[in-house]
Amino acid sequence: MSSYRMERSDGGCRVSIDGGLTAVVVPELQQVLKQEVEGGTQRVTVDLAATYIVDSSGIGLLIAASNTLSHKSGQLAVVNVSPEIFRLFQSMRLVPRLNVSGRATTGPAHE
Amino acid sequence: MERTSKSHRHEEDLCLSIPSDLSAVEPVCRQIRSLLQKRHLERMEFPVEMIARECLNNAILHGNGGQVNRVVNFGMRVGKKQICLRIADQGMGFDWRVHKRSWPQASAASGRGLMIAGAYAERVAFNRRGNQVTVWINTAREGR
Repeated sequence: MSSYRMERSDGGCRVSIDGGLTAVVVPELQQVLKQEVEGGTQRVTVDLAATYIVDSSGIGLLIAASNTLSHKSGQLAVVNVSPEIFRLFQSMRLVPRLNVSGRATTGPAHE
Repeated sequence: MERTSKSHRHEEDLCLSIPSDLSAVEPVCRQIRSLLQKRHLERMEFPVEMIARECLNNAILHGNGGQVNRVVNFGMRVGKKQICLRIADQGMGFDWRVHKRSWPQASAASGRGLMIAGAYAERVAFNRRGNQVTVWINTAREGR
């Protein structure tokens, strides 16, 4: 079962996804991120250290959040991505757009 | 993408019928991973689950329009060289013939599902009506 937790700090927030960033969790997460950004958050970090899969709905959520934040001079970063998910982002040329970085334990991932 | 009318339902290792509810996708994925582990195909878990999720989500949301009284049928056959997935919904189908094999714009927040499935698959085929998709994945291919 997928879940998430959020921590706030210094005008930013960090969302950690446990399990999958998939269609079943996207609607709730979308509302939470929307509220955060409307509340003035400018830096959103999505931590995928405990995430094993991201589907197209999850990718859509990250792109929509990135679009909204960039309009408000904010920024999204996707961190601690597994090698398989990193390759998925690479194949869609989303690594620079979403500021994707790999997991430290598996070595830095490069595009 | 191409059309298929063949049914291999009797040969399937996994044959499930789920309601049109996104939460029903998770148990299917657990069974997929379990089956692949039993066949020592752990390296195929990510690509197979990616394809299954995209096709199941499409069938539930677009095919069946999220109507929970409609079901989605899922079949999976694990062969020596290929894994075959079959996903069928009870909707009107869609015109896969006009579906272009191109990525959406980088800023687009939707429209990647079928393209992702196609990227991990060896072959993707639809029935004439467009409410059943069959996907073949080469087991020799490790991830993308």
